[in-house]
Amino acid sequence: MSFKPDLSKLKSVKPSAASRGIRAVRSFRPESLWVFHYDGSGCDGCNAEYLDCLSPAWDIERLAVRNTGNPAYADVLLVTGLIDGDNADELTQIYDQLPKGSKVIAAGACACTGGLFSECRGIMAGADSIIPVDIYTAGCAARPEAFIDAIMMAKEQIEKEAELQEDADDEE
Amino acid sequence: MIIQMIISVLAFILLAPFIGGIMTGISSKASARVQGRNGADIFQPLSDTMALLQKGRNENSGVQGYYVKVSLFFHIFAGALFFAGMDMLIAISCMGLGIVFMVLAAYTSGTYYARIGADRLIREMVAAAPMMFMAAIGFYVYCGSFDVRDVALNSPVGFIPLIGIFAGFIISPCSKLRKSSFDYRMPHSMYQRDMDSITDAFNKKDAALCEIASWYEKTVLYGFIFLFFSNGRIWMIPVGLAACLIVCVIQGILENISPVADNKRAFKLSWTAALIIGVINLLVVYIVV
Amino acid sequence: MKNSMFETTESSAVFQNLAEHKDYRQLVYAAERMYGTGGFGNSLAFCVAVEGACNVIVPVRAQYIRTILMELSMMQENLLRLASIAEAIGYDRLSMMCWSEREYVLEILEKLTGNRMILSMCCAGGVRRDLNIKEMPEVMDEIDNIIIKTQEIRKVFETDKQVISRLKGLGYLSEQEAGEASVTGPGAKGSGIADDRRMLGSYGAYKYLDYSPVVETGGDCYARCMVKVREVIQSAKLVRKAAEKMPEGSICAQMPDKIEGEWIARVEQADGMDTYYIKGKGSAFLEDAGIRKAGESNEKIMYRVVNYSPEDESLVRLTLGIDDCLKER
Repeated sequence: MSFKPDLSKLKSVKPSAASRGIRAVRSFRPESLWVFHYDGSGCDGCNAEYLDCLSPAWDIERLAVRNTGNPAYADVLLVTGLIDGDNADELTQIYDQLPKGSKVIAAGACACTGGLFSECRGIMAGADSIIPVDIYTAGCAARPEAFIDAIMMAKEQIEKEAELQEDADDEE
Repeated sequence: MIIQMIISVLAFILLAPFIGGIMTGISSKASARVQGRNGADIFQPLSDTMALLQKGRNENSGVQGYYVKVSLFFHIFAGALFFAGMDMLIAISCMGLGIVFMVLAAYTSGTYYARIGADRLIREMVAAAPMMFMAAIGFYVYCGSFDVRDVALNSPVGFIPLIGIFAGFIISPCSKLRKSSFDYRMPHSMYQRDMDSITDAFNKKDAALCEIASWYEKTVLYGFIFLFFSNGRIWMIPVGLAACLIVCVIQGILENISPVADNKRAFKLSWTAALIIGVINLLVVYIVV
Repeated sequence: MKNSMFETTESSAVFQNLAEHKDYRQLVYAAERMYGTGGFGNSLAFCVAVEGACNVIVPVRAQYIRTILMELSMMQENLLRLASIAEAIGYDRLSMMCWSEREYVLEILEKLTGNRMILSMCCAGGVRRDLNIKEMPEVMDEIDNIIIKTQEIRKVFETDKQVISRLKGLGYLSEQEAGEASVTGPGAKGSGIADDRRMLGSYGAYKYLDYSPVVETGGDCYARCMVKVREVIQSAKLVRKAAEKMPEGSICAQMPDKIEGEWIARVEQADGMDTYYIKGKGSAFLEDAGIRKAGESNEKIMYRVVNYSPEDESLVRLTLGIDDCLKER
């Protein structure tokens, strides 16, 4: 015999004013994304294009994105360039310092799959052989538009996850 | 009078972070516009620090967290003394003590780059000290007392007679209102932010508290600038506030008109400016008035 | 590669690794990606080496197009170096000016080729597509604007006292030392040695354009910065001249399927001289290949440079052409 709950008898629970107020304060997420850029050994093309993003022509600062030099503060880890045997330890260390809920972007062909150099000795086939990657961005060199796209996608993913987390917390 | 003091102290403690953050935002926006780009929003520093606090809410800090909180306490205490109307020299000294505790926090956090940042902060404090004391002495010579209450309410407007000191306060290359001019050859620039600063090895909560402490300090400094324009009448209040906003924008512009001077030159410039401009101004005020 | 004759530098090892899997036509694309911002120069060097080994003569129109693209590529590289130097001395506004200028150059390159830095326009025997810049007035106007704005940047470097005081006297390299260690690029030109691979006329159309290198005699970081700024202006003027003088003709010569023989190509990049060596074995695949980037060969000069403190080391390396932009720690 299967148990079917009698939904007609369920009273709808409206949240009280106090809990709505608490939820508004807790869910007030300031719009600010901190990006940490890690460049493996590579041709520096994607490196230069990311620096271009901070220049007056593309200016990601107006999108509330802040470039930081400390991975412990970062929301997003942006990996460009090749990952080889020497870099793998560094990248793992940086990934370990990232706070919970951070996203990893692999930008450029070399960081996604190894690119042109994937057949070379010592080169790992992309950053995702070392750390889990959330967003892949193509290009060789990846254009600034692609960088901005990837960072905005990471921002959406983080916000969505925070909302889901809150809904899950509320149901408990 | 006691009630007035309590109200102004409470208003300071509650509103100063927002005022300091908005002033920082206005300076960065002006700086970005001079550089030819759009720059972040005015309220962006507030958003950034709030996001840091939220991200770091479940962290525990060690000894450095304790020093950061003590430093924050001294910054708030200095501001409370200032806005309660008491002796401004004590307020300046308390601020200095707050900076010393922040430097101690940076030293104990241990990494090499944090020590560089602590070094820079000490140099900044020492280089900016003469100008601040010169301002206080200027107010004493002109208005007759060191008390903020007397200067704000009972004495004539100090802007014109003390104009040299005012200009030195704002324009001096080591003015505390700007980003630190002691770059130690690795700049605090757009690409390598948070790298050589004192917050290098802090966790997120402490870094956010450090930023908030600097906002309290900024509010006190803008209070100083307001003092140059206040004489107790109500129609000078908007003039003072407008002056603070204009100074804020000027700081953003001044950050960009020259490269960062190297350490020896920065010291020389700020100390000679303080001595020459300050002393001449004081002599003029003493003789003429 | 087994029994490689070429001294193994880091980029050389990667290139040899790639040459085992790809034939000489595919290696052009690999050579481009050896160095991102100097992509066109590297592919040009490789193509010159292959053409030299096969004794193929590149048509004149192709030489002109190669010259135009090479000069545009060098302009954006020099502006990148200048932006990094300005940032290293703390002058954010000058740095942003240089970044904006670089953006205009990259827009021109995108209009001409579709790519910003890694152009993929060079092929063994000539260029892949035809360019008719004379009939693109917006490009010619843009180049004029770039010349005007770079003159402003040059004025800042020449007249701003604090910029001069930060850079002058730093990292002094005497003419004799530079000559003995065979430094190339801004390291040599800043110390008074008029040495530039473009003078030889072995590639490109420089022999038709009356090219002579920019030389400064200071020997310190300031002189090297001035060399870079003046080179940007000189490159823009060369692009104008080449666009106007370009003759008609074919854009690519016929290349054989098999490479036999060996050749060394030397090409001038923003940092100095890039060297490409290839050796064929009678098939489309190469027997031996090697690269020496300018930064790698200039690195050995660091111990002869005097008058800088450890904090200034990154600035000195930027001006000498060893580093390309400020990297994170």
